[in-house]
Amino acid sequence: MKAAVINAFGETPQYSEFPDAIPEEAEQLLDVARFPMG
Amino acid sequence: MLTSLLPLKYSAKLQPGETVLVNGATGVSGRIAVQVAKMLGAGKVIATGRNPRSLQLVQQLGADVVIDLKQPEEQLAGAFAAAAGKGIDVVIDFLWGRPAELLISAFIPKEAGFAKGRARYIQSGERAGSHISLPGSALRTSGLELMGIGKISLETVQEEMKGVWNGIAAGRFYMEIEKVSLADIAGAWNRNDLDGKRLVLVP
Repeated sequence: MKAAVINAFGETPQYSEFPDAIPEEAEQLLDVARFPMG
Repeated sequence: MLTSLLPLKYSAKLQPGETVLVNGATGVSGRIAVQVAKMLGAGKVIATGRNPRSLQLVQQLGADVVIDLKQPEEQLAGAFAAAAGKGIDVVIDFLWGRPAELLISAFIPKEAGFAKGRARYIQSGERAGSHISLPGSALRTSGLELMGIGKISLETVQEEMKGVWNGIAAGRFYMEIEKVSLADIAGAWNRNDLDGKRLVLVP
């Protein structure tokens, strides 16, 4: 999937490929439609 | 929203008719604080900020008086002193730093004696600096009570959260929002032209 990815503290996030999240036991995958920044 | 509602309602225990000064009212949190103070029954809201367009906006949102933080320090100190002289019951401060030093100094009595009233000063942010220099006289007889948000139970937060959602759903609060595509995250991350606008990322 495409995501805002940060690899190190203080870095500017980059829009890039990221592995799909796979929920484990007792975890839930949420679809986020909007997200406030800041 | 809770960053204003909880401290004003539970930390400062704002009473209807009281005067509230929102230091840093033109940012996202400050604009909300002006609206929340009015919702809680503040008789007068004084709003400070640096951006002229945002200062106009906070007046439309309910601020009765605005103070421009960009004026020279001496004039700003005078504006704070004039406001404090008329009585400020609660301050919610999103700035800290130098503006807070000037504002706190305005509460120091110029004559011997005790303060005529108490002013609850809530530290809520530090956009202008993480530290201040605080003279003892700012607390000794000024009536100033410095505080943070303090202890608020989880149950209270959950209850107030419901009220906040209801208020938002009813369109009772205004927030300037700009939608940004997630693909533009790098550019959005480094923007410094927001002036109280909230960016919302959309996939």
